Amino acid sequence: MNNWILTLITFVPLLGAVIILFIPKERHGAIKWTALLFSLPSLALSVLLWVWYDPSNAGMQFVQRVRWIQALNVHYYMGIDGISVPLIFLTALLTTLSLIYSWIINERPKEYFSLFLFLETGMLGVFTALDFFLFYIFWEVSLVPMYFLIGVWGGPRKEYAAIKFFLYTLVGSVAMLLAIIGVYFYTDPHTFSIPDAIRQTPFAGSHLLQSLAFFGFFLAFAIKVPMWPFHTWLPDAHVEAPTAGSVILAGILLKLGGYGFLRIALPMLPEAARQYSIYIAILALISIIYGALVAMAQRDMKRLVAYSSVSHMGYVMLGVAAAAAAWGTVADKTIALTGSVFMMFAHGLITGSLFLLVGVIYERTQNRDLDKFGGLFAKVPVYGGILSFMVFASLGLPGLAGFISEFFVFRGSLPIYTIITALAGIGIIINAAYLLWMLQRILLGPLNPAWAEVSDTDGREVLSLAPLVALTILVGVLPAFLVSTLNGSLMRIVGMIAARGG
Amino acid sequence: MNFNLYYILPELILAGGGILALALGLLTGRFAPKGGRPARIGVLSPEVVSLAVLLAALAASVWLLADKGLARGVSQFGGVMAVDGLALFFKIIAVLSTIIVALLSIDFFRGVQFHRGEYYALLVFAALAITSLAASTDLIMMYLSLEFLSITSYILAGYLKQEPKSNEAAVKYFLYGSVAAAVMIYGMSILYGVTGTTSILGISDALWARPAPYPLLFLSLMLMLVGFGFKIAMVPFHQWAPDTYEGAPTPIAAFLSVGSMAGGIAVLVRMLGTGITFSAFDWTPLIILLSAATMTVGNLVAIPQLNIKRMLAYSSIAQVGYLLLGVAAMAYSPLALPAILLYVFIYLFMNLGAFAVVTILSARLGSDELRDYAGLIRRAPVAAVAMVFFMLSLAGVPPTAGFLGKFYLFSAAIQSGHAAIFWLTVLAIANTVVSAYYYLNVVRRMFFAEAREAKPITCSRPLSFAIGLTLAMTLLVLLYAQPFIKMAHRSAAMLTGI
Repeated sequence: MNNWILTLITFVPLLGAVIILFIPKERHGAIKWTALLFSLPSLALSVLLWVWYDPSNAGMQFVQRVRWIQALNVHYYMGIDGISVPLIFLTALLTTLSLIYSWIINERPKEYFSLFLFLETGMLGVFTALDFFLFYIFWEVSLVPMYFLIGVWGGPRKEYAAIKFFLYTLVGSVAMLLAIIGVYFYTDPHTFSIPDAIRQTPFAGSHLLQSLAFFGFFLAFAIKVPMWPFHTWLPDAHVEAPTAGSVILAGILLKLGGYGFLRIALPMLPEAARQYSIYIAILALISIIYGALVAMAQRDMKRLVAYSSVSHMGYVMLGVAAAAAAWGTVADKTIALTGSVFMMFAHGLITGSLFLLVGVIYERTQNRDLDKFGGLFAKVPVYGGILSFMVFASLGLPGLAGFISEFFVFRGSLPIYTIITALAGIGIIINAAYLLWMLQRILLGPLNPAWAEVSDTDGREVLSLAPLVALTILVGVLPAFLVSTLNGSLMRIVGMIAARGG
Repeated sequence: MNFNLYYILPELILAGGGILALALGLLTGRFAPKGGRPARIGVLSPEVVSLAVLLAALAASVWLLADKGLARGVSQFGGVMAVDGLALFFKIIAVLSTIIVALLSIDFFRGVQFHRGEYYALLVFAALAITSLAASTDLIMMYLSLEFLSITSYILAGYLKQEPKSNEAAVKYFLYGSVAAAVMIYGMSILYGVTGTTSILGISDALWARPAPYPLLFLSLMLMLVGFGFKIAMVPFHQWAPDTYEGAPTPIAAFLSVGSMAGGIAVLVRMLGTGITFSAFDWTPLIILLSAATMTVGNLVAIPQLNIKRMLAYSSIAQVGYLLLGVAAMAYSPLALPAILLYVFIYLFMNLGAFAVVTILSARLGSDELRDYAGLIRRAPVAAVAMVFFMLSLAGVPPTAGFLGKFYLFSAAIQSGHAAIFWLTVLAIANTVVSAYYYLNVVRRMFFAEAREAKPITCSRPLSFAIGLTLAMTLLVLLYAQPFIKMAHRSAAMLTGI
């Protein structure tokens, strides 16, 4: 059982996706229930996975390794450590909640729900795969369904947004493909196993090759995160995607990039990581400030939330850059990385809910223009309450998930990149400004008479939001359970960066 | 003169079968009655016979490839033909692609009055031409086989006699082809003049013993490349392809892009691998340039195409560019030849699968315009979903076999350790992204756009089978890759070659 749990988590949704294809397309109810039913085992198992995960053992757990293509030494190699555990849980949770939220989808539901489960398999696979070949397949597989979700169920510029999303990410992916092939030929014996490759530190000694390989991985991950200047696909994709698609995009797909840095780029190519860490830090800083400033200028609520993602993911990358730096103590670096993973987790919860909340109001008003809202708090108190809560969580109110993440990132990075971290602090202020201003424009002031009939959130919407609210509080109040899961694995990664190839 | 009928079993079967199909065509009557079932004698009809014969030839080729006694290859007819891994592999490709083309043809010509006996006989003969082309180890045999293939192809391309476009396709193909053949034989004559032999192996020996002047070898190779390049639609000898694909019957366009192209690759690989070998003449820079031009031109010009057959023509050109990347790496990486073979094998299924879906609309709507693919998911959901996989596979996106093909090809290129080949790989990667744009454009039309009419499109049984087979293989070759990679490695053994 222990060996099969990751396979089950990853492929049960795929099974559901295939089964849905055989349900007649008129039977919407059956399709939706099947989708929900097949997303639940992964969620339940991901909780169990967290419970069973042994934080005292920093190595890979629940490992399953089966030979797949002998000629290439490719294995079906699955395994997880403390970094994957929370992200797997987040993926399963957000998928289930998105499916619940998507109950309103009545346009081509068969394709929609099937693609959604297919997408879940792709994302979970990225977090569980430990073989480059397998990792790459999952990485790309997560691309295809999202392309369809944006292109079929998206907004007015959906076709443009869909292809832009696909091509941007593909540029990064193929660059990573070259790097992966390079790694294969520069390990001895040739291997696609990520842990084995890390152990061998390929290209040690060849500055040029290590830089090239690092650049290949960097491009893939930085586009996915996305870091400025690779972010331009994000506003289009997020804005045009259907609500649940935006939730998954912001909640999970962006994390694939951050995860890639932690799992592959930093531990495998430590020399290059150290060398380029300052540039990553600068790009992270630009992302933080630029994302926040552009968010400030938005009138479209969804676009505002999208740009806030650029800014928040900048903190993730700041922590990553600090951990990769050539100087600094192991303790500081571990704290910085803890902050990064916290931020990924918290951002998934918070921005996921913010996109849901955008969807809730848009569905009722067909409007996302902030200047046309106003005074809605009195009309929709529950909605207003949840929105305020999530806005405060997002701007880093102490006691909630956002604060603790920013705190760790700043605490860890400050001794390493003092000036950059100090400047990044400005981002927090701008974040607070535009988020509060958004809140004010929606909830306060005179009520726009056009929305006099707007109804409050219904049960389905509350059901899809409540777990996120609860977790945001839980992570903020009791960060220890997440820290203890992460700590061992993160220290191990920091050790790999620090110890080798010096 | 040594020869053994066992070794040329596939050829014998094809030759006999082709004649049988021709005879049956006369006996069963030329024309299918309008709307009715085509005439047959018992179970025998040209369609059935040609399929049976091709299957038998496939079995024979597979059997020979599995024969351990043939591991190092056998020379036949005084060194004119080789029975080695490379030849047998391309025989399998030739026959397999012709089988699928025959299935597409049954659907495409349903209810059309045409010379069916001759058509299926010509298809079988075209397969025979490719098998002998792949086995040729002599300049004369090479030339004859290429011409044999060309002549059957000219006729097949113009088979829709009433349609001006089909005539145009055939004439254009013929004019280009005859010029290319003339230029090629001039190049061969120079090579003969330099080395004094027409045997490929003899040429290699002669060049080894007495190195030839560089300009002469260069000229000879360039001129021969015109002929080979024409067959595989390599830039700058590709201009016939879009027009011919567009006008030719859809199954024949499919045949030209897979079977006929594979024959050209086979003869190119044999010439460069065992004839004018790398040690006699460093052709790597030349192939790198041709590869770069072919993939880039193919992909860029594919983007604005409005007709799917024209788009697939440019896509095939681009795919040839990727194959040439493998050819360029042949002198430096032992993985290159297996990678080329694996790619050809995968390309067969993904490209014929795409053409199978195109055939549905060609035959039902009489249109190949991309705009008629709008909303295909509503009208023919299974075909549309299959098409997504074919397009993703052609673009090299997992979870499809096309990804494995590109992965292997790029691996060979990286392994070569040659700086120029590395940058060519980077260019290939950039091209992959460009290609994703127009491949997904088809997907966009099928899924995102609204159908102009909602009437479902039904699919005939042979065509469904062809789509099912190609789709299954497009997925299977990745998921269960080991035997196919092994086959490619086994086939990469050339008679006294690399």
